[in-house]
Amino acid sequence: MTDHKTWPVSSQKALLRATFLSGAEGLSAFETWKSQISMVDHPDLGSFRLLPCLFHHLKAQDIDDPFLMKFKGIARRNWYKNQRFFRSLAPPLQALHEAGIECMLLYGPVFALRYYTDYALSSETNLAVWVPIKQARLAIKQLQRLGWQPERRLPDALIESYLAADWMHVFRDAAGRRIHLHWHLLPECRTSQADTDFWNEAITTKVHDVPVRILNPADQILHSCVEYHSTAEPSHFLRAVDVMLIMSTTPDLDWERLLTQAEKHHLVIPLLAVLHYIQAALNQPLPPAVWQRLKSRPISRQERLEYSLKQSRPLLWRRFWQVWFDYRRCTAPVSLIQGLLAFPRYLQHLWRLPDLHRVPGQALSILHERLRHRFFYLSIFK
Amino acid sequence: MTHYRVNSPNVIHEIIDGEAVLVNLESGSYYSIDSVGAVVWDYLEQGLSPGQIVEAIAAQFAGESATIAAGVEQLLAELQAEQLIVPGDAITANGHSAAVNGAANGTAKPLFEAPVLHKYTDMEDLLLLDPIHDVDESGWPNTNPNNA
Repeated sequence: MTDHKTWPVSSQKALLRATFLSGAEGLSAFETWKSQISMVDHPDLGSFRLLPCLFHHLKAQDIDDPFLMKFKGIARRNWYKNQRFFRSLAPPLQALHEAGIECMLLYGPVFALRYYTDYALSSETNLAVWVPIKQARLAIKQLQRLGWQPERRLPDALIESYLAADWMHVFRDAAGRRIHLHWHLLPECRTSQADTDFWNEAITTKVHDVPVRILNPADQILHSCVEYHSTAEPSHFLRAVDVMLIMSTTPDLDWERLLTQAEKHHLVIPLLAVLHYIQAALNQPLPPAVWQRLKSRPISRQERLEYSLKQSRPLLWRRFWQVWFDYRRCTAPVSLIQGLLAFPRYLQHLWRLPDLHRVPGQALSILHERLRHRFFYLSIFK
Repeated sequence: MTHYRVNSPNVIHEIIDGEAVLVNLESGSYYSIDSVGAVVWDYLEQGLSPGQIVEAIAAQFAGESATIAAGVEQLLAELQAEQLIVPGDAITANGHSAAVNGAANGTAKPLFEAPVLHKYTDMEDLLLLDPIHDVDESGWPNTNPNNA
């Protein structure tokens, strides 16, 4: 379970250990990390984002180092950026709230608000808002009214069918800021039952007096684990940091809910993988009974197949399998034959095409574009 | 003597590792005050009057009373000029006695150094800096003069 493509590389692992372990073990990890990186070069984005936490952790242990003043500077910058970010967040959230739309905040801002509770430590200011699917169309209209335009075309006549096929869309304002508008939490969880499960147990909080919802801690762990597993971006090892943070700040974590939700939504593999890593590499013990139960949870054949094929090579095929399995999760329990027959219609809606007969052309166009990119990069690096 | 209060909600502030960082949201300017200045800011937040602040600082730091009073008053004047603090009503400052007594109990007092208010105005440019390579040894937002 620890050979996932996105598991931290050696320097990231040392940084994680230096940030979370105390005493000789943590200090040794800090020295290892310093020996493995060069500040002349740029640390990877994920490592960079963790540096304010490292600063905070080392300072709390009265450890000094010439690097720390630079890291403190990053903490100052985070604090300033987050102050601006949360202020800029308030108007669109207020507008959605006034239109009667419920909003759930996702990703980085949730951690700044609830788990770090210190703007200096949180480096991620990506804005993602989840609205109930029945309010998604209204939310799109509200955002457009406020000057947020869809990043990829979204013709008005195709919105309803698109909402049924996809799970989120990105909007951008004149200043270049982006909002990820979700109508489902994850591509893997697109049924109304899944939505209800997450919304029912969500927590209410406020951003500049605007009420918003956030996932409850158990669901947030599951979300972070799935996100960790979903791409190969180097910064995604920070999702393990998120999970560590939730576990350390939530003494009454509802483990039963976490296990039940993972099994119910066929998300046991990412949960098992991340928790296994945290336990083994970061000495973060899980309650033994929970670990035992998690390991003994049945993993469905569909889930095993899905994760194995989603990580297949080449990348083109991985993307194909991702679309196929996302589709199957929306349409289950329709039979495979019925599913295959309806797949072109799904692609039409997903690609926001007005007619079914344009699907083959669009598929060829995407294939051509991806091959062109692939050969372009190969020609650069050969 | 005039009391001051933090000019909230126009001013936001935080203590980061013994340094007060402040932002005036109206002007967009960013400020920092280190060491003694951060302690003065903390006392302002607690609602201490200028006289009480001078008294508390004198109990906490080693130095001539007149020097300490002048340094604190200078900082308060600068904070007011930058609209970071505004005259306000006197409030009961519960932390005052504890601050003075706690400081007086220490053995070796650090030397008083006149606090300096650092001001940064080009925030859009400063945010674009690489906070590892484009800054000096004290870290963002202090630019590395060699990069200029």
